[in-house]
Amino acid sequence: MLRQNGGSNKRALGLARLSTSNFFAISTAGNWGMGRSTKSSSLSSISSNSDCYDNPVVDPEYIMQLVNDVRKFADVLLYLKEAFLSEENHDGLHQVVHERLGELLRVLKAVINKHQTLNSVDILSAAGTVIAKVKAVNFKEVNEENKRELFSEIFSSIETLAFTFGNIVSDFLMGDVDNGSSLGLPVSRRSRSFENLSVESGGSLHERDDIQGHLRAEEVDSILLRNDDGVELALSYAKAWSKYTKDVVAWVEKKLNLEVECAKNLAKMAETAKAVVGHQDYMPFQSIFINAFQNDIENSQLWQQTAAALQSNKFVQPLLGRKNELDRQRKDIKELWQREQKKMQELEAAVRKAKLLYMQRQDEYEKAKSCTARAEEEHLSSSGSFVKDFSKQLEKKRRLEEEALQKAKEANEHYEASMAEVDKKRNYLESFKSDVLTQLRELIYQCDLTLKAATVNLFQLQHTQVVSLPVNCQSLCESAKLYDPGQQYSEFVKSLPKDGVPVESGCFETQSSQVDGVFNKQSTNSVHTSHGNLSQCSGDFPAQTLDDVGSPVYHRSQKVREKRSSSNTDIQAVRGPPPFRSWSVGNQSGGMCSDSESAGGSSESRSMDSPSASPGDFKRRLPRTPSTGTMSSADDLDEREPPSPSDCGLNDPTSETANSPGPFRNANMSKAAHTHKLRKLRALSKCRECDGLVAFQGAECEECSLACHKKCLETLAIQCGHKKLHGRLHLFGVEFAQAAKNVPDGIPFIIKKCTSEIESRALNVKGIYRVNGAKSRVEKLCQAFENGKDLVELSELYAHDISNVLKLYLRQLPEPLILFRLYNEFIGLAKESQNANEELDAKQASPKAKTRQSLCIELNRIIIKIKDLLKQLPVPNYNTLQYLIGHLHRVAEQCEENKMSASNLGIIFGPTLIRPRQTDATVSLSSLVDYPYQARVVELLITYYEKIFDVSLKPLLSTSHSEETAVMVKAALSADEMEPQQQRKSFVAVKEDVQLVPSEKASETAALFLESKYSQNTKEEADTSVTGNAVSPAAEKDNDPFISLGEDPLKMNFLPVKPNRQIAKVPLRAPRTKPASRPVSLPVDRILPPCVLNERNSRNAGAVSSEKLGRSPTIEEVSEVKALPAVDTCCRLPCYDTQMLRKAWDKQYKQYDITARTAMIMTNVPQEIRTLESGPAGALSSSCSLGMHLLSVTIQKQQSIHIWFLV
Amino acid sequence: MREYKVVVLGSGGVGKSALTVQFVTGTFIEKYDPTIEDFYRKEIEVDASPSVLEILDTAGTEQFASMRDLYIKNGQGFILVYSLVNQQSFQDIRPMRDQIIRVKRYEKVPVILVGNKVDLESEREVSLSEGRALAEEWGCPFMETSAKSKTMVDELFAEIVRQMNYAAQPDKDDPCCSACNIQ
Repeated sequence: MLRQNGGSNKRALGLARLSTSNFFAISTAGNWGMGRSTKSSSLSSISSNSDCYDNPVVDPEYIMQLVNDVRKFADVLLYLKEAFLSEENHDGLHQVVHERLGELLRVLKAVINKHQTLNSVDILSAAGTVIAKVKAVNFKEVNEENKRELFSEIFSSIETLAFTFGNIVSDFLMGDVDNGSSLGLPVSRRSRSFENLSVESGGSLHERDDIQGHLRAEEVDSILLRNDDGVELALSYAKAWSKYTKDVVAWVEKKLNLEVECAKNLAKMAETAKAVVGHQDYMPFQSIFINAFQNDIENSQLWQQTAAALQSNKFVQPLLGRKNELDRQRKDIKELWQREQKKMQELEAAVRKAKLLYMQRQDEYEKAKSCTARAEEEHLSSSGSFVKDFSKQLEKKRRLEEEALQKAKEANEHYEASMAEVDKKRNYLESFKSDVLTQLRELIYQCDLTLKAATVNLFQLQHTQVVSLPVNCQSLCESAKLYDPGQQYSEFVKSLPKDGVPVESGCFETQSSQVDGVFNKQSTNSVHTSHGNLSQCSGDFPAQTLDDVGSPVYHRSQKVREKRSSSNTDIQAVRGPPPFRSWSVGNQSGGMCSDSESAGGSSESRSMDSPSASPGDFKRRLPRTPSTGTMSSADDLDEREPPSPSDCGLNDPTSETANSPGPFRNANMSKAAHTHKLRKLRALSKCRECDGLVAFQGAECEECSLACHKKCLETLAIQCGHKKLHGRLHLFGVEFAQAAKNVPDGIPFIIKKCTSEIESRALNVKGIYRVNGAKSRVEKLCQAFENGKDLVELSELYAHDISNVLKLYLRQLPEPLILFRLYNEFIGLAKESQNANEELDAKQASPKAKTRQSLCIELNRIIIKIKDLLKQLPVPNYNTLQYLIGHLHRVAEQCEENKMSASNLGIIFGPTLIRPRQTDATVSLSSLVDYPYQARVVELLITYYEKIFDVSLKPLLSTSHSEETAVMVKAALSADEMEPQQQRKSFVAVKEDVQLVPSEKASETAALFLESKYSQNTKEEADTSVTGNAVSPAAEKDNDPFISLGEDPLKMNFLPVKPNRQIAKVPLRAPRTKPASRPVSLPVDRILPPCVLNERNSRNAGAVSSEKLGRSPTIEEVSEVKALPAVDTCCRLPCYDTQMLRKAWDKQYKQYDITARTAMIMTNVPQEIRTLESGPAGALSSSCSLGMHLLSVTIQKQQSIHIWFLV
Repeated sequence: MREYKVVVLGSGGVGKSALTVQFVTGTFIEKYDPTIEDFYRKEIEVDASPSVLEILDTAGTEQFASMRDLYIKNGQGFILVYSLVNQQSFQDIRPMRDQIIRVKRYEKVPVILVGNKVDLESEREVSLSEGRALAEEWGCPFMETSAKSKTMVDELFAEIVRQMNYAAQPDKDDPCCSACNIQ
């Protein structure tokens, strides 16, 4: 892939005739990063979408299309060729040729886009050659004579293109096309085409370098050597180079200065803007802008760094150094050369002088010679007296002549010597010149090398400094597109405190923030905690049920949520303190900052953090309108689209892996991983399992676009939600109100998820909630919850890990479920109850009915107070607390097995659910003192769960009590009555039925009676008037037992009926040693509708049959219970309860053969005595109530029988 | 008579209280109640010298982990207990020791590594050698105990007294840190 990239780059650049193409071409060969950007910018004409090999299946229709396309291509090729051959319109030839070339390229592009398999470097390079050749022709010079010659090259290149294309197509049709064919280009070919292109695209300053690069060094030298001014030319080139470099460096320096200044200003601006904008909550696009500011800041940092690097060792300094070196050497060489030249000239001058001298001497000699000759003639002609004189003269002249000859000879010798010297010098100079030239050439080569390196550095750095910009901007653009107008406004309105609820500081601050527009996040948060949920529940999700999932409203709200979570993330990331993994630390005080997660990090990693910004995501979302609800279908569509060229650049690194279908068939996958429809990951993304970046070896779900490492599939805990997976959620350590907002009932999904998983399989695990989980797994699970929300698959995880996560979540809440402001009151109540308990214990040895009674009244009072206090909690907190305590209650009911009694759980959950506002002084001794009371509060909540939370219908009951009940039940029950199906009715149904039933006075009272008889610890005297009062309203309210329960639970407690004390006593074979006494009867019981009695009656009627009597239910029932899966608890429990109740009932009416009311009155007294053994029975009563409720559905008809029984 | 402040540390449910109560009262507590903090005092004779042990039985549950610094500050000798039927409790021990070193700012704090519940040999998850290796790494004594069957319980507390004696001897004046003493 890399190689292909490099190749196509060269081509593309050559085509684009960029003046700097040589730099890029050289650098990109080994530089992938550069390749990407240049490719995406300049390759628009011939885009090579290289990640489309994933469709190797060839069908006939496709072949036909291909053939057609090939034919079309052949036609345009021919057409182009014809343009050159045509005889006419020489004037318009230029235009025609270019038109046809354009046509050719269009067709080629279309063909290649359509048939990605043909997208090979060969074709593209051949096409590039054609283009270059055509463009190189100077059409003005074309005439008939040179036409053929000029165009022959073009024709050959066209033929090459046709040939290459044909080869590729035939290869493809033979089924040979794979990555190899397009990648495995012969190197020589590639480089050749590159050469051609670059030579022809010349004209730039760098062409010289190119030619030099192609000429061999010796050739360069010899050319210059032949030139007389070779050295001067070389020197002047060197000088020009130096000047040129100086200019370039000056430009770069100026530019850098400007950039640095600009960057600084931008950063300053961004900082200022961030500081202002960052504090305004509920403004649209706030997170986006903050992101943008952050990007700006980071960019400017990057720019400054880049500038510094370029200033120092990357560009300016080496270049200047090189330039100085060049100048110095150039001067030296020049000096040397000039000296040599001068010497040469001197020598030449000497030669000239010698020559002149020689000539002169020669002349003199000639003169002397002629003079001598004349004198001889005169001597001969005169011959007389003067002979002697003449002979003397002659002698003299001859001497002169000889002298002249001598001198001439000397001069000649000198001249010759000089000549020889000059020749020697010339030779020397020649070699010196070649030396100098070589030196200069090497110098220039070196300089070029430096310049090249520096230039590569320059553009590389410039590239890196801008490469993140488009991605960031695009991600911001995509995030911005997702915004629904008015969304933040509605958020803002939602967060306003609700009327009538006292807000201490929040109210004022919110108002002020409205006025001046600057929001204090802290204060709004606190408003959230207390009131946001209220308004949320009442306003936005009033009747939202699971069925609404498909409705647009739901989608919108979900989007809002996603948005919100993303903005949270961003804000956290941008603001001062780094985002921390709150779960990775064991303790609360020191634990808030962990080292496992680094701070904001690079811009890239942050953009990954925000759910909408990951490159993989935004690309897919691009064509989507913000309102689309069906994400998956949109995904599919997008997938079919050929990626745009710009995609291509980003996708390149991974595209290679994207072509094998069903890529993860062999991978070892977790249960949750199997739910995904995995494909290879296409874009850089963040792993949802381990949080690392994924580029290679990544998997992605087609439906929910969850991204993940291949190796992480083994442990992946997030299931597929079959719709777009939400962005990362901040869950741990986030305000409770924030989490509660996302669900209609205000109970965060993580609580529901964990508790239901524990209830389904871990209720009997010893030390559940006490024993620590493995830290690493716990952290992983926390991460999974943040990443995958409620899609996390828990069934494969250890119960202790799950329980730890739940505890951790609650502990990490900035404010506990029981709010700080209630802390002191709760602790006070805990102290009171502790005192009461101690007294009770003290009195236990000598039980005095009276005092114990009063103590129980005291306890009652405390419980009522707790109830009132809890009512002050915001609705989501209350709901969640109720849900949680209900769960813990069920855990505690199994305490025989899991050892986690209410008091144990209290110790565990004490500091988790209720803690004082932590001052900076960490844990003080005072909080140590408070720990037992915190634990006590939670213990009370768990123990008196039904009473405190007015739970009328408990969906799940523990088995342990009912088992005992079952034990109590003797032979009176029939097997068919125990069928759980019989009780399998929805609560709604129960309610309706109840309403339908005409309440019969007698049965009514009996019901009440029945219920109350199980409440052992009620210390009330059997006050007839009270009883009467209680009964009659109950009868009236019978139509709506739920209301009646809520209205006067206290009153109901006073219903003091214990008719079957003996009954209870008899069957309790092994009274359990429950640490916690249950002194108060539970109000729940009261709501038992009369129909229970009816049911009972019917059962009793049925019980007549001998078949039923013949059975011994105890054993069978117990075994049955064990066999049933835990999930069925709610179904199977009632049957035991009914048995028990029925039994009790039978006994009751047998014992007291009177009306229910009398019975009630009569049995008030003995209850007190039973108080101590009442532990299990107290629990029984609650289970009974449920059982009766469930049973009540079936009954109505048998009322008469019931009455008969009673009477 | 010298007083020794001993702190028993370990993650939840490993039997810290059971060990302590077994040592102090000679009985095995069956109840499974998480401790918040309990304090015991007992006189014993170690190597013929009578000593008073003040034992702080701490909360193992992580909810109370924030109190650990406090325990550690006040303690002189530390018994690090894990349950050898629970690998995780063994894993939890290391950070506790690190915390001790951190709080004490002193490498040679008297520490004993204890694998409890040796009576549950059949359910063993942490091998003897694993425990030994860790103790060797820390340069501290190691023993496997059982509060239920009273195996090595008295020996354990005697040993911690010895350790504290040993640690106090070389540098009684300033046990700030070993580096200071060398200088």
